[in-house]
Amino acid sequence: MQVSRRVFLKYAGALSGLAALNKTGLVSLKHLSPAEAEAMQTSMGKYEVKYTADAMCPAECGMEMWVKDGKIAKIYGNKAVPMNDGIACAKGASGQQLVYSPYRLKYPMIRVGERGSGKFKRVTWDEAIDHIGLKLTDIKKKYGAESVIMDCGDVTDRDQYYRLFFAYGTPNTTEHGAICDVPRRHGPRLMVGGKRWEPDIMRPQLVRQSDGSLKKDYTYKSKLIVYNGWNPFVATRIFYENRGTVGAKVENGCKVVVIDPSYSNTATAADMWLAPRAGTDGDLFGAMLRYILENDNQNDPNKKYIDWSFKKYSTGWDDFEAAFKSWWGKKDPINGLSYFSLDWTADRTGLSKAQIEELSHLFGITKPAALVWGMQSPGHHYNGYCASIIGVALNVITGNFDAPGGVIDCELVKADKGGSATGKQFKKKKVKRNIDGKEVEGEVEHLHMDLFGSKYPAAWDDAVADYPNAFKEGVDVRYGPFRGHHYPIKAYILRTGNTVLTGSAPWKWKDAILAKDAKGNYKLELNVFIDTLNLESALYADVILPEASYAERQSLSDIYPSHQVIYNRDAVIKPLHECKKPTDIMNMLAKKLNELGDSDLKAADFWEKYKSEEDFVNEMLAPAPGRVNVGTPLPYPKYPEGYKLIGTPDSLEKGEVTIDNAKKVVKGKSVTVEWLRNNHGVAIWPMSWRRYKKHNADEPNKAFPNTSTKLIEFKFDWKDGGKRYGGYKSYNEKIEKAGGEVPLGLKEIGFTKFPETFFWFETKWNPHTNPEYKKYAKDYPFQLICGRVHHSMSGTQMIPWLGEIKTEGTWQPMNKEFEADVPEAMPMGDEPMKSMKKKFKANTYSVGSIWMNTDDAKKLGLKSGDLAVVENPLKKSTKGKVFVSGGIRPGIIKIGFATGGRFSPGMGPAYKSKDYTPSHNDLVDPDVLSPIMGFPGYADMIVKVKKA
Amino acid sequence: MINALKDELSLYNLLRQIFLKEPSKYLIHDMNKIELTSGNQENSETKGPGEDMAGYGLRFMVEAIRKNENNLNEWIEDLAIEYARLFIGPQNPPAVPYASFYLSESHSLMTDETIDVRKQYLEAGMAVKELYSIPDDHIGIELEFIYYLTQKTIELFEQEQRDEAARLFEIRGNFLSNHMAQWVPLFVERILNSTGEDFYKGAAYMLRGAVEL
Amino acid sequence: MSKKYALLVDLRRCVGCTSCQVSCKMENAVPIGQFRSKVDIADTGEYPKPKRYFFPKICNQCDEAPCIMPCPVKGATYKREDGVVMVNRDLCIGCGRCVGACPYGARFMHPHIPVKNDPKPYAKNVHEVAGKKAKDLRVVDKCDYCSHRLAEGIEEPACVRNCVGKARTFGDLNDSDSSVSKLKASVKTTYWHPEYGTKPRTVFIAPDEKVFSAADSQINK
Repeated sequence: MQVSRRVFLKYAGALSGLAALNKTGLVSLKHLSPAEAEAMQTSMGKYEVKYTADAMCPAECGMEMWVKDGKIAKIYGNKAVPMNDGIACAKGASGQQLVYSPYRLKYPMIRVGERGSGKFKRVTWDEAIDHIGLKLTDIKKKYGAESVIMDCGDVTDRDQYYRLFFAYGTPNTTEHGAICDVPRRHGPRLMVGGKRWEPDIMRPQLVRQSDGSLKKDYTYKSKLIVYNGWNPFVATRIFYENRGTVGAKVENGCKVVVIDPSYSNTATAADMWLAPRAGTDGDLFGAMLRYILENDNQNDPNKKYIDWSFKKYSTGWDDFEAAFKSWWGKKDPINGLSYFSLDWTADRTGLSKAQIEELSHLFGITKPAALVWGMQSPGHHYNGYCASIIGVALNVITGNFDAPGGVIDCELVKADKGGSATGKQFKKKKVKRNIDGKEVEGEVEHLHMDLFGSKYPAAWDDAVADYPNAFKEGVDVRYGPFRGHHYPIKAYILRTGNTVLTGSAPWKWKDAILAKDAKGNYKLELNVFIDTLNLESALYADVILPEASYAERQSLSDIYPSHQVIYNRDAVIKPLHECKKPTDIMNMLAKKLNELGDSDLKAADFWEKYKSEEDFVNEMLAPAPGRVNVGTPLPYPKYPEGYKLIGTPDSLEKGEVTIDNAKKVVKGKSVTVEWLRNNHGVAIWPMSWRRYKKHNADEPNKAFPNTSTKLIEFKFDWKDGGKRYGGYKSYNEKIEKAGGEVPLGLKEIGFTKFPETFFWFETKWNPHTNPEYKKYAKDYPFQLICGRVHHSMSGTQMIPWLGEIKTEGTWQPMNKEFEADVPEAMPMGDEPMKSMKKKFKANTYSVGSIWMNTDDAKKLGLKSGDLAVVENPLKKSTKGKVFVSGGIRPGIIKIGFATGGRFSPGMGPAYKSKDYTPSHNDLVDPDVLSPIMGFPGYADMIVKVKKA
Repeated sequence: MINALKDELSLYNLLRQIFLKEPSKYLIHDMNKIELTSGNQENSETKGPGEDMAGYGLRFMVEAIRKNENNLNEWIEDLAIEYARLFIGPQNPPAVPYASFYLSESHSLMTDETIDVRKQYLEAGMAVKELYSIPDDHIGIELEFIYYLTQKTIELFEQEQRDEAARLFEIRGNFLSNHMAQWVPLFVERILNSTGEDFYKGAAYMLRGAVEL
Repeated sequence: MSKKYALLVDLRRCVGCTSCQVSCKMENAVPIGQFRSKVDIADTGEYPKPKRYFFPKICNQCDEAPCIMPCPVKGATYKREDGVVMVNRDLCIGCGRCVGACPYGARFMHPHIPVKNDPKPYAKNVHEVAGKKAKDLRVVDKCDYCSHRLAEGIEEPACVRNCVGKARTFGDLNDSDSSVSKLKASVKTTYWHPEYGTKPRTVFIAPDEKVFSAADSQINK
């Protein structure tokens, strides 16, 4: 043994006296006993298969991950899960590059500079929780718990955070759905108590056969699918629509119509592509309804559009029809034509009369058919509610609602979960507030900033885009027991979201978070960011908490299937770095608040109740599947029709149940995490159709859908026999109790209360349909629309494999030459590779781009790759390279959602292109919040384009 | 020879402390006591590192401490911020402190290269305390590994267990030259290119010296 | 009877998602910028009749493989009995002749895997490696229908396993009951450039054959 290669260390002597070097214990490493070492040795290199769900995206497909040495080695789809039937998309397959990204958040951090300066230091979890706990305790004492907003982002793990903050005493919690597609879901919620309507193309389905057995059925039944502003091939919230659309076409001759101003990837599978002007979805739906009503002839097989049996299962159609027809007699101020006529619709949509007629006839006559509308159309327009309501009516009167091969309300039929774990019961707690010198008592939930606030009391999905106003001006409670109460918003806790970039206009959010009071203190006293990734919103946080990635924490899938399916999103690997799971974060904060004297947070409700996240998930599973035994074929013929079903599929199948006739519940053995793990991670209960009627008679079963009358409701507020009914009933009652005070949202459109049946109003920033904006048409000749690019969302753009993909006209290989660190082989080295700076050649890596029509571009002297400036009438602008093609309607500009202008350095290559990629959000008018529920008008804008 | 190893023991002990986390007050106050006798008159900024890169780095650090002697506590806070900026984030840290980032195909963490490091720890009967959570190839942990092997070699040598001492010494040599020397210079270069803080420049020089010894 | 493996891609069902491309990278650690499997996407046509083609490209595992003959090392690239065209990394000397010989661009030099076989004995006839040492050269890489999965009895390459539109079918043409045999027998199929006479094993159902010319570039340009 020789030490020969060293050079004498000059100062070594100086070091030896250091007291710090008396520290000789090991910090990060430990000794292994011989037995431990051997166990580790033998387990190394072996694969273990785990079933989980992919929460990198809201589709949350079932996944099969192969783990080796504690590390994810392979990712495939879970073949037992019907949602994705064993497949995994590009994003799903790239999961390792996100989980093992060097740019992940790793430690809790506290801001040391000004907000937005990006200066942070590492702290311990105890220090971070201390900091937040002290602040929350102080805020609750000074202003009340309602001054805190918990924004939970991702749906799947929201429950721990909901529970914590409901118990703390604020009703102001929200999740990602609030800035997703609220107006799109309005019609279903109002008329059937549901949410999203999707075509019946999830295959396989588990179907009860006449001999009593269950069959995994792959047969498609659909004959027509109309996708309006919905692009499942690229924005895959409902993942089975990928294979289902092409499967139904190839195997069942199903026709596909895509209505979208841009030629989407879904349009490549379409038999008919219609490209209307943006924001005219409701116009087109209205025209279809009028055409069908005017041309239906029950005696002519070629015109038998309506299936009048729908009247048995619904209420209020006559009122709805009368209100709809009353518009036919009115002249539109913008073109002088009769509403919803072919001429009127052609003038407004820019489609030809023949196209509108063909579509209306095709939809009326083809059965089974599904008309569905997406987040990119009614979802993102000020008046999207109207389109959503007419869309429901169209499907119902043509007999397609819940028909085999028709359209399904997935919210009504998905498995129930969450239950008491969510902590809703804490919102019932009585609290007192002093209003104008008087003490008033009410429940925690009556303090909700939207549901009882002055603007959007029907905002059942929360008005997140209004938060910046609340940060600056506070909340005025105008309805309910606390009417007259004013409170400030003092804390904003954001988890797995990026509202600064996508919550409407980034400049508005920054302005509100940075706003200071007269003393120079931030008005928003506490801004916390909880996530796995370092997104733009983190730059403005006071405290950053690193949360375990989707593969490191456990919960349940949140999905939109055609019948009850639920699967375990298992923790596949241990949390990396110092990241923690939501259950642990919940318990730590609850305990801290309790230690600081807040008795609302009790050990028995938190850290003693949930020793592990599995305890929490088991409680979430308790109500599953929680749906009623209805439809044809009846899922469980041996149980009474209309009874609620709870329990594992095998216990229900074997009859290991108790039947409660008073409550109408059939209860088998509760679904548990353990049961799921033993069954490939997934529980599946049988499919049925026409779930609104009795299986053996043509009459309503009064157990489905989920409305006040258990019928499909075409009326929204009415009285019958001394009782009041309808989806808007409770909101109008609030207004009446408040002396008729009209909420600000409704005031904007000239309404004095929520309408009783069909209603109509125009969208914003549309010079073709709203006379108010006609004056801008000449100077701002383009309508701006946006859409999701599935694999380049706010949180996935740092993944190099996904940068090698291009998508439609909004995500194109148009990078400037840039350098990035990539591994390369060293010719002289023994090691196979080393990291080197590598030049990415221009136009080899995808970045956000601006999509425009060939003729439009020609007129402006633009060609693909040219840098252009897009400016709106509010004088806000963004810059990006144009992609020119024939695949977009003239007069339309399209930019992907959050694809460009990414100013967080944690975004890897996306950050390098921030100066020449467009941010659609920079052009959003933050004051356009749709009047019923305060949702941002993401796609209501007009712009001009010029060469940069 | 054992004396030389003892010197190195101090060196790796100091380095692991510097790279595992932001410096404590205790460490900085302690380092401020270091007497730079032999080179006091020389100016390290004009005189190159020469052969003694580790010594040069130490000088740099101590001089940085001396420069900030009057506001040491505030400066220690600045060092914590700089440590976070360089090695942690939340913004894209310029000097990612994991070997796999430099050595792997995918340019990410917890790669096969990380597993190779795990195997080498295992060979010496060691494992990361937070196995599967903390990537095994963090610079601080690798330095701790070398520190441990050095300590153990000396101990065994002094106990006359020469064979086992030689075995660990060989693992140490392989780990230094076949693994650390492959990526640490790249890591050091990144620190030098992205920090304006003399303390971390010094730490980087010292680290390079320690790996290239 | 030996297996006769084939991959059938039904372009009627391709949704353009590129899962095959990324799943391949995940499965086989393919370096950034290079591909064993790649989806080409081409926008053509003018409004209101635009067209977008998705063309998922992969090695054809040709029965008359033009990449085998130019190889100067016997056995470095070869066709297995089951039809898969393989590279033997222990024998390949990294001359790159096969890369140039493939008309589909299905091969590339793997930047991170050095050659093991000493090129010296070949240097006289193979000028590409003359004067170079093994460690200065890189082996060739290509799609092998995930042969490591086949070896474990998993007859489903990763791109097939994860295909979102269920457009890919893999199996044994010698088994008339296999889904690939049945599909091939029932629907009109075609090949990528059949006129090259390479007799590909990778088969396409292509209702619009313009897809081949609209997106006609090699996999690794």
